[in-house]
Amino acid sequence: MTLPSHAQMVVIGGGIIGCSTAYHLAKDHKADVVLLEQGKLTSGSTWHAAGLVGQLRSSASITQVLKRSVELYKTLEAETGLATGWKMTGCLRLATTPDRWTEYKRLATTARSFGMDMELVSPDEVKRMWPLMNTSDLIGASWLPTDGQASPSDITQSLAKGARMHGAKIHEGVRVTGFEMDGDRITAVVTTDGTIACETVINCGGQWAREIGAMAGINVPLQPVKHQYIVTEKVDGLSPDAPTLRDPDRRTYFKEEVGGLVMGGYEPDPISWTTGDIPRPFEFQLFDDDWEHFEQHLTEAIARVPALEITGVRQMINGPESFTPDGNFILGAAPECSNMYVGAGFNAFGIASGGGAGWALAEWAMRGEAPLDLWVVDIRRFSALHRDRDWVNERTLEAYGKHYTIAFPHEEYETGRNRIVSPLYDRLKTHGAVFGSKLGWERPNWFAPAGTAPRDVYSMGRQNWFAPVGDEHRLVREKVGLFDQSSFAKYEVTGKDAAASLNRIAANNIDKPVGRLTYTQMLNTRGGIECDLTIARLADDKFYIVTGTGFRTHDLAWIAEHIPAGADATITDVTEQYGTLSLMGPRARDILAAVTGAEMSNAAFPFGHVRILPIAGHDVRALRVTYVGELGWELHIPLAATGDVFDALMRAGAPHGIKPVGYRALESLRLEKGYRAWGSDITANDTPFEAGLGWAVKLKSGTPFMGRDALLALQGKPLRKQLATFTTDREDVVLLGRETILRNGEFAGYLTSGGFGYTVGKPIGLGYVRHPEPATGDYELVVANERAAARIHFGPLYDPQNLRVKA
Amino acid sequence: MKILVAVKRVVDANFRVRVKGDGTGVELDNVKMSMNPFDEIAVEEAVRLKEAGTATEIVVVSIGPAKAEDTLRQALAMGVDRAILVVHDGKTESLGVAKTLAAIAKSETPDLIILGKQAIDDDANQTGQMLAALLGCGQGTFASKLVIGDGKAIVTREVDGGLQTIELVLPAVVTADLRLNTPRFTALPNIIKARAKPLTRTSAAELGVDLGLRLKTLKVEEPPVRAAGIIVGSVAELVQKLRAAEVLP
Amino acid sequence: MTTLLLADGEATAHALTAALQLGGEVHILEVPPNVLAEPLAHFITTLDGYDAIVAPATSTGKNVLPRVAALLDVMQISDIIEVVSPDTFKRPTYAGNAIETVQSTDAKSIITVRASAFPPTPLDGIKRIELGPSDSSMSRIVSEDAPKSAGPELGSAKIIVSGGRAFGSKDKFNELLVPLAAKLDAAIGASRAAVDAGYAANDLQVGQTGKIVAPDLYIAVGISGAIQHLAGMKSSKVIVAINSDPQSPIFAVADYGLVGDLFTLLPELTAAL
Repeated sequence: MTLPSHAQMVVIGGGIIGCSTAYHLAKDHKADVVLLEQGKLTSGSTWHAAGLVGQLRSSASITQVLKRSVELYKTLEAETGLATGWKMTGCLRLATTPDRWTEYKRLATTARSFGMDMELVSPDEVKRMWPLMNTSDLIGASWLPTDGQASPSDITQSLAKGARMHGAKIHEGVRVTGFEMDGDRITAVVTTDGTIACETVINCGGQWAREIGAMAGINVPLQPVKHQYIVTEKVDGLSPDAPTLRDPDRRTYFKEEVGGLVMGGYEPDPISWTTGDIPRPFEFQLFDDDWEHFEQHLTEAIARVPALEITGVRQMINGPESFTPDGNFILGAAPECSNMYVGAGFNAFGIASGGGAGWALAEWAMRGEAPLDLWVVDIRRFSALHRDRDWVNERTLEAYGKHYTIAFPHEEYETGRNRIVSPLYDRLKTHGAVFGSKLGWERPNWFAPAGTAPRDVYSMGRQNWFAPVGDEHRLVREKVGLFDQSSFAKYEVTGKDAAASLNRIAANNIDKPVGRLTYTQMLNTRGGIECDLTIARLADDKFYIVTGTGFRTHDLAWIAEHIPAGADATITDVTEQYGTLSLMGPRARDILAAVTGAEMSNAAFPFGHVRILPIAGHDVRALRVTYVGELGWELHIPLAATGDVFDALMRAGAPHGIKPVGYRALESLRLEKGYRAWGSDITANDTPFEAGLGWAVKLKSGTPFMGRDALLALQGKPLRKQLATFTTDREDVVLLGRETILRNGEFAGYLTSGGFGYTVGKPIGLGYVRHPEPATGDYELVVANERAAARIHFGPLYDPQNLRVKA
Repeated sequence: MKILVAVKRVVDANFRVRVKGDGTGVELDNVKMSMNPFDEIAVEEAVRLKEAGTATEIVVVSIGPAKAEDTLRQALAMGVDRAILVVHDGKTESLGVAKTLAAIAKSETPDLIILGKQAIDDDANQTGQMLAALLGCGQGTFASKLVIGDGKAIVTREVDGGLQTIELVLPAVVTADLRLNTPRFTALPNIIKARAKPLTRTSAAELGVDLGLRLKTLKVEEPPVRAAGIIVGSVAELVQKLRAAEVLP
Repeated sequence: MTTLLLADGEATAHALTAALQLGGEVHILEVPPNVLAEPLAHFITTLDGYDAIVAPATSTGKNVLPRVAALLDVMQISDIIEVVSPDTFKRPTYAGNAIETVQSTDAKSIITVRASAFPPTPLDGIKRIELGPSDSSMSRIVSEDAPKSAGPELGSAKIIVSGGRAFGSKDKFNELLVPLAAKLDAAIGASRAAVDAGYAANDLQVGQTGKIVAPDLYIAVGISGAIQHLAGMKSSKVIVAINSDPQSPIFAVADYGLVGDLFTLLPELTAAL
């Protein structure tokens, strides 16, 4: 079979992801698809996958994607005639410690929030479902009856057949050796068998995705790790319908296979494969059995399933799986190339994800935007940091090692730290800063008072920082606090068409006089919120944009790719050129006035304005804006001068009791004000109307902007959901997000954020209510599987008139 | 009775090797290695003899790189008592291996030595025969059945014409064929226990054996590739094609 | 240059071809049946004046020659498929997936020959050596069990029909394969799986460690085509594969593949011939 000279879509990689993507492209979109596989279908890592299919993830959208996989695996055989081996066995997760049990209670609540039925069952019930198990150390288990297992190779062959039935062409033994590029656009795929001109390339190259991406200049930060499991002989008394089993306290998992067991584990000391290029060919290939390394799992497995004492091991599988630094897979449009999409790095849940991820990737590639909020897996969550293979390796191994550890709230990674520090790092450290890490940046989460060890002590309830953060919170409300937010992503957009271009991309009107700031969203064609940021006009042809640390690559790519072709508008990332200090609190003006000669009155420098202020001999961009709900300024300082300005502010603020304040206080402060966080409270799934941000949309002006048509179609219609604030008087309740909202005892949504408001003295959550009459009814929150009476609020809990902000 | 078993670490039987581009050998990086399948049968036979009370001790030997310890540990997990690793990096030949085993046999003085009939990497099928020659004892190659009794071994051999049963005076060398037994799958506790069983390391030099190669490998190449075939739709079409190819009588 | 060739049945004529390629004279050592390796090897080491000792890679050749080699302190070269020069040979390794060219540095060459890789040469006029008196106290024959099949020998047949585990039983194996073999005057072969399952005798096993064959026509029925089986038959001139699973690796080496149920296709094929 000779290669076609042209194709609309070229999918690279014949594993489950590539085949699923090709299937959905061909079937759902009637696309002209060519799939290229360097060896044989499945021969990279799909063929040695264990085949467990779990669906529940901590993101609602990803859970939805995984549910789609299951739906597809159930029905695919009827369409293609090739079985997928899907068995809905259900999944048991075992708990042996109180903290694990609390984690499952929260998990069960999350499941309910995401529309899945997870039960918590007793050890006796577990024994009944899985009689061969030793249950003596169990507190209980979670039970998700709709999970199951499938045969990775069979699914892939079935998807491949389905893809062919709908016209896709699949070529095995064809390796991609390069791309012909026109700027940042691929014009053709160069292979060992010839060149294919194409419109879009989808990189599903598995562990080779990194190298394939590099040939087009894109970064796919994944790391192959050696994952081992064993397959045993027949185990007497093991039912073919035995549920899949996850025993995280013993770091192992089990699944029935032809009468025997598959048993594998996630060890704390995983072994990565090369950080260099992956050898080719590497087809149907495994590593040596490493019993020495696997022994830790054997002991645990025998303790759980005593029948393994006398059961022989048929086979050890030691194969590479692609893992990522945060345990989530990598999907979507590569920011560095305008027509390469990626689906890779599946962290050993590629089989669970394959069906749905292929659907999402096909939609994304055909429509140019993700079909739903896929932020947690979006390739644009990475940054230049992730081009460092050693960093990626180190962090990935930590993530792998934590796969089965208890996920404590607010947990921070320990590896790859101190990678990017602000100029204030050492100063903050002397103030007792406890740092967290975000996209490589060290950021102060909280400040340990004298006598308290400056470190997090994790637990399922209130953690050790709870009281100190309360003090920081009150300092900002009552006096003044200083936040180091130097990690903020910052861009400048310049050019004579800058205003027109940005006004087309932004939902709010940004074409305001020089010196004004605009808080705005940027919307996709469905009206969903893709970005949430502040745009300051510095000159007629120059804008300064500030957004969250983690959104740096994403927001830059979104703006860059939507600047109209031919427009004179250039966006530049200036993140590292400016340090950012947020001076927040009622005393902020007094302090700022003391360090600058400028007039600081409300009239001279009103809210929503930007001015250049001289501080400590440096020109500082001062933005009067707040995320805490107090009088305050964000000061953007030439990076090298950040220390000088910090020192000046601390000196001038001393009489006012100024102290540095961290991100955990920020979170509490913003929740009281009902300020939304992109990625959780507002996402691509939510419109400004639903999010209560309709006021920030220039719908009336008649100016066209992205997402306008979708909003017009929704205007005046009843909302499907509406963002609201919830509080409960149960002060002991710990809200983290994903708790279920009940209205009159029935499901009405779930929290998107949760925390504690120290001023209102209550746990606070934000979440969308899915009910036509949200203002009425009795509300409860389900927290860790228990109900707590709650109240709904449609405005900020604190200073609803914004008197303090505009003081 | 004491049994000596020899095992070799080879490319896993399920893996199809590829020849290196420069023609110097086959690509062995990142390739799964396992115990030679015939050696696994040899180990199994020894373990069964011990379980039956016929043998009292089993010693396993391997000549190979440090990683060959994994192969020895597998034998220990199957039920062998102790292991000897003759550490040697690089290629070996049957003659050198047979001399090494003979040196070990002289100090261990086993009553029976069982080996696989052939290693699936070099496919030489020589070591057992050579070892028997060097020890001046009898050989029962290609064994599909082994019975021990009264200082003798009755070995049924798979030969071209069918089966041949011979009687050997012990000590003797037996090489295992496929149908001698089906090796067990080891249970997890035995894998763990095997890690604690004694394993001693030595070298050919310590044993006074020269492992220098007698054969020079001039070139390694891929076998000729068969032209791609076709799928025929029916018996009639098949017969017609075969007639056209003039291979039918 | 004088070469001693160990005779063993029909393979001897093929091995003679290789022996003659070494150059010089060839003497054939006739081996009567029921001689064991120990006395035979000992006898050969008493013969002087041979620069090379050759045997076909039959079970006898494979059994005896390494013993001879060790006694003479020579590294044997097994299963050669080509004589490059008198001291340099090609031989398959890794189940035939790599062909090595090796050169001996020993004073003598001791080699076994893959019969299927060399055409036969008539033995007429070749000098015969008789096995001298030899005895061994190390071993003795207890019994022989050599079932004689009706058709041609597996090693020399022009056509081989070979069956795998897909037959499901010994009865079906015989019921379907025997008439086809009879029609084609073919030898019957079997995969390891079929032999292990007891459908066929061990001496019918074709593969890396069984018989290595290269007939004009090899018909593999219900054989999936494991590497080890392919190693024993992939040098056949024409290969036919009949299997119900189109993904079977056997189709990768087949000249003609027929996908379908062997229980209907085989009788049809037998009838069509």
